Formats: sequence, structure tokens, C-alpha cells
Amino acid sequence: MSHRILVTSLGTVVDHWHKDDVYGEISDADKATMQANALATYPGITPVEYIHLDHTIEVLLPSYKWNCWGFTFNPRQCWVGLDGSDIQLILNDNGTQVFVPNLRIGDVICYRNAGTITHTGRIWSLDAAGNPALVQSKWGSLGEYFHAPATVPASYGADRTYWRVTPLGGKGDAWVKDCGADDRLPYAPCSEFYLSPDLWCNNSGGTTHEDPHRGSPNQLWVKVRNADTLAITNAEVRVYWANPTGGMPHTEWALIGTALVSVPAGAGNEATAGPIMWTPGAAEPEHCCLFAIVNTGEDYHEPTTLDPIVWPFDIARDNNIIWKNMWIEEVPAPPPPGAPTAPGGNQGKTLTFVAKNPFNTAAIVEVKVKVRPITGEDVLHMGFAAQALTRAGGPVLKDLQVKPVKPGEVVAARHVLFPTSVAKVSRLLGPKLKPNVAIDFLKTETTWRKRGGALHDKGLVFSLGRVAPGKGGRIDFRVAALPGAKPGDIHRIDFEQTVGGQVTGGGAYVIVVKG
Amino acid sequence: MADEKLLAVLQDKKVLLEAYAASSAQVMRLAFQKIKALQPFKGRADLAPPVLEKLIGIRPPGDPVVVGAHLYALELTGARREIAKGVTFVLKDQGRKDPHLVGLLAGYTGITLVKPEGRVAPKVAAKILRPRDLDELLKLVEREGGQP
Repeated sequence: MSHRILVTSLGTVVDHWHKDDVYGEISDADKATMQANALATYPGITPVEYIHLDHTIEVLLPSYKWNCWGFTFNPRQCWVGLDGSDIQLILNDNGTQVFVPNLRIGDVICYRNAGTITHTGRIWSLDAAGNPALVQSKWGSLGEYFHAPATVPASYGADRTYWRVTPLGGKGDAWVKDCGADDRLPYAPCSEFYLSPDLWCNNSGGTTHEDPHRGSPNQLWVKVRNADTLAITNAEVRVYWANPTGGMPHTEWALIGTALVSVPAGAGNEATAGPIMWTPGAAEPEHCCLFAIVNTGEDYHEPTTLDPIVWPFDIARDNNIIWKNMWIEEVPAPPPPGAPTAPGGNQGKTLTFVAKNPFNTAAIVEVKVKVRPITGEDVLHMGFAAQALTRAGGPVLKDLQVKPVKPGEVVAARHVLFPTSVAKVSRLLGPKLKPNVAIDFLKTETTWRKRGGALHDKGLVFSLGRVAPGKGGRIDFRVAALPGAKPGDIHRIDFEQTVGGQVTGGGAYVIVVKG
Repeated sequence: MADEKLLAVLQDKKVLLEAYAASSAQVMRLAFQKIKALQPFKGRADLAPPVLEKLIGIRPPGDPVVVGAHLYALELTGARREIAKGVTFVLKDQGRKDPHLVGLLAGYTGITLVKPEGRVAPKVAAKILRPRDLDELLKLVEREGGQP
């Protein structure tokens, strides 16, 4: 990787080297011995598994290819730093010290012994009080492990501090946003990481999201961003569909197709990959989750791989991976006062959300449901407006000017004339609505227990209790417009799934009152 | 512990496990200090010649932890002449191929040899070693008897 020069945000060059160039890689037999010794000597540590894009799993065994700092600050491609003083430079220039209870998953944990930085890793999970529960780190030439913060070799020391560190420059960083507030770091400050604005379906070449049409070709697009001084050349963008749930094992991701994209060097540059054509057929459910992975090389050991994926299939943690779990539904407007009720009344619409435990251990599964009128900020961040507002026939329609195209027709990506300021969208949406859609939860085969909360406030929480890996339950509900709702009114219904206290995903319905 | 068994410790991956968990020469030295099985070398100048012999006999490129353990054991023996020879050998051979880890390990051991004389550069004396400091250090160690 001689072409790389790793620099901090203040331009300090950080030393790195390739131990395997000098010694070769550790033999398979020695890897097995060292791993067995480590697991026996430090009870409670768990080897980290790397899931390749073909879904094969590799245990990250002892290796000379990267060290703890190579894992923490560079995606496993080399040994970073000659000693702790190099790491102190990174923390000085790119880091901000953070404290309990303000830690975030993915923050850097820094170990010191007698003042010397000895080791770093990343927080994998937090306990209820906001303390680190598990850490992921590479132990020198040993393997990569999940471990309790205190379960480390004695030489690392007991002095632990926590840091939020922006990525080094010069290592390459192709990234996509989980949400509008995404800051490139793991677990961006947005719980709705299943509503990425960078992945959308639009059959007119526009940049807003439409529901895909079943049985006919749809065009999928992904916006790829460059945050680094190295150009992104022919990165492969992979788009997947899956049955919609609030937690998605990688085995359920079905590849739709791929597209190549190049983004010039320089922070802030971006380019759109696509269209990736998709015709949902009998195999796909009515509502699909969509995912995208930006892949700059399959082999994270390969020095020419620009920006290896660190946490494959892990949407919230890895900034190369995004998720779109949003569907747009129309419900009939309520009949005007005094009008005769249609046979069957205002039936509304029956919809579903599926919860599932994606982890490999049993855990408590909960789902929080919230309903509220849409805001201008939502419209921009969720990126749905073109279709929803066009359908709604509201005042925004004339501003959109989306050129209609025939089903399956491919057009180049372009920006539709869509207002981009929250204030303007808010004005077009009209006065702030009071919630005027109702939800009835239906009985399902699974037993959900209400745990409290309010639908129109912070959310109504349902619990399935402890659920086995891969299992879950379905929430069926009917949504209907209440008297007073007008055609064009738009609400959102959010489902946020928590497994073992950790948000694993969710979905959102955009409910448009039909004219 | 019989001397042969003690010498065998220097190649025992299980005993040296903590050193394999080090990401730098600095941390590897801290690990060696924590490994109790290495401490019996302290003051055993009589063991310095066989340790040196084994160090020189390690077929390149060698295992950096094993090379480092021999250097640390030499340092514990306190035998200045063997320490100087060991450091010189490693810096001239393995240290040139791997200045980042083995080179620095030899450098840290070399500092313990020359620092009391007060003849080293301030940076070296402060133990913040970089690979570029190793040539200067090598010259100093050679004066201590590292030359064959």
C-alpha cells in the first residue's frame, strides 16, 4: 500500500507498515495454535467473524496483516503506528474525548499503561447506563475479538478513555448516508437508519423515491459520496431486496443487480450509480426492503482495495451500506359529513410490519409504533415526495414537473425541479396537520403485549418477550382517514424494532389521503 | 527450572502469548515484563552466552516475538558484552528488514546499555525511538563491545 499516505485532519502523516511483507503471513497451523491459546487464556472473548459478499464466513484469526490500530483507524489493511505516540497524534488531531453516558457504538476505546497508549478498539455495544458492554479489537498479531472492556492482556493497562474520531485522510472513503444527519461514523445519530436518502426507486430518472411497480421494470439509483483525497474508480454498487422486517440476517438479502460508479477525489464529491433495473415478480413480497452496498474490492487484505468494508451487512455500523424500508400507501378520504356511507364503510387499508430477531442468541423483541403528520423536513430527508405528492394531487404537484416516462424506459439520472429547502416544502405542505388517520391493531397469530406509550406521542411499544434467533412476529393493522382529513394530507407511521435493547431497524409507511 | 527448560521458554508461543497481542515494540516490552516465566533470567549472566547463541541461530526472518524474547532475556541477564553483541547482530540483520518492530525492540534493549554512559542523543535517551534513530544507536552499541 505504498501509494497511501495516511494523514490526520491537521495534515500530520501517520506511520504505517506491512508486517506480512517482512515475515509472510502466519502459517495456518500457527494461527490455530495461537487462537486456541488466546481463547484458553482469556475466557469470555469471542472471535470476530467476517461475512463475505458471497455469504461465506471467515473467522478473523491471528494475522500479521493488521494490528489493533490498523483495525481502529484503517480498514484492516496494514499495521498503523509505530508506537502509542502516533496514536496520540490521531486522537489530538481527529478525536474528541467522550464520556459516559454520551458514548456511541463505534466510538474508539483507548487503553493506556503508565501513560503510554497500548491498544485501541471500537465499542461494539453499550449497556443500559451507557457504559461500554462489548468491545471489538484486534490484539496485535493475534485475532480480532469481541470482549468486555476489562478482558484484555495485562500489558494494555486498566486506564481506559473513549474518543469520537473522524476518519484519517488518504485511506479512501466511499460512503453512503443512512439518514440526513449521517456523519460517516458508525451508528450515525439517527435511529431511522432504515430510511436512507441515498437509495431510491424512480422510473423517470428523478432523485426522489417512488414505490416500485410490480411486474414491470423499475429503476434503482444509489448516490455514492467521496470523503477522501483518493478518487473512487469503478466501485461496484450492489443493490438487494429482502422481505421487510425490522432486523435482517444477511442470508435473506437477495441481489438485484450491480452498477459501477466513479467519484472524483475530494471531500464532498458525489455521483449517482444506476439505473439498476428490477422487475419484482412472484418471489418478492408486495413491500420489499431495499439495500445497497458500495464495494471497492472484495478482498480487504488486498492493498489496491480502496475502502474495504469493515462490517459487512451491518447497515448502522458500516458507512458503505444503506437500507430503504419505506412504502407509500393511499387511503380513501372520509366521506363528507352527511354523505351516504359506501357499502362496507370507509374500510381504510390493512398493512403489516414484521419483527424478527436477527441475532444468533435469544433476545427480547420490541416494536415502537408512532404516527404523525409529515413535515417538510421529513419530505426532504425521506426523499419520497415526487410520487406521494403527485399522487395526492396537492399544491406541490405543479412544482415537481416530473416528466412521465413509459414503464421500463431508462433515463439518465437528473434532478427534478423539486424544492430543496425545508421552509419551502413546509409551505407547500400547508398548515401543520393534526393527526387525522386512525390505526386499529388486528389480532395476529403472534402474541404482542402492549408495554405502554402513546401512538401520537413518543410511540406505542409492543413486546414479543424473549424470541429465539430468526424468529419474530407480525403486526397487522388497519389504517383509515378520520373525518376532517383532506385529500393530499400525508402522515407517516414508523415502526422501530429493538432487539435486546439495541435498535436493529424498522420501517415507515407514508400514508397519503386519496382524493 | 533447569536451564534448558528456561531457554525453551524463549520459543514457547503459549508462554509468550501476551507478547503476540502487542501492536508495537513498546507494548511488546510491557508484555515481556508481565510474563513471569521470563523473570528467572534476571541476573543470570551465565545464561547470556547460550541465549546469544540461540538468538544468532534463529533462521531469518524469524518470529519477532521470539527474537524480542531473546533480546529481553539478554537484557535481564545484565551481561553487557552479550547484550551489545545481540543488539548489534539484530540491528544489522533483522532490524534492517523490520525496523518497526524487531529493530525498535533491539533499540530499546540497546538504550539500556548505553544510556547510563550519558552519551546518547536526548531523543534516544527519552526512549521515544523511531527507525531513523537506529543507525545512531547501533554505532553507540558497537562501541560498547558489540563488534565481534
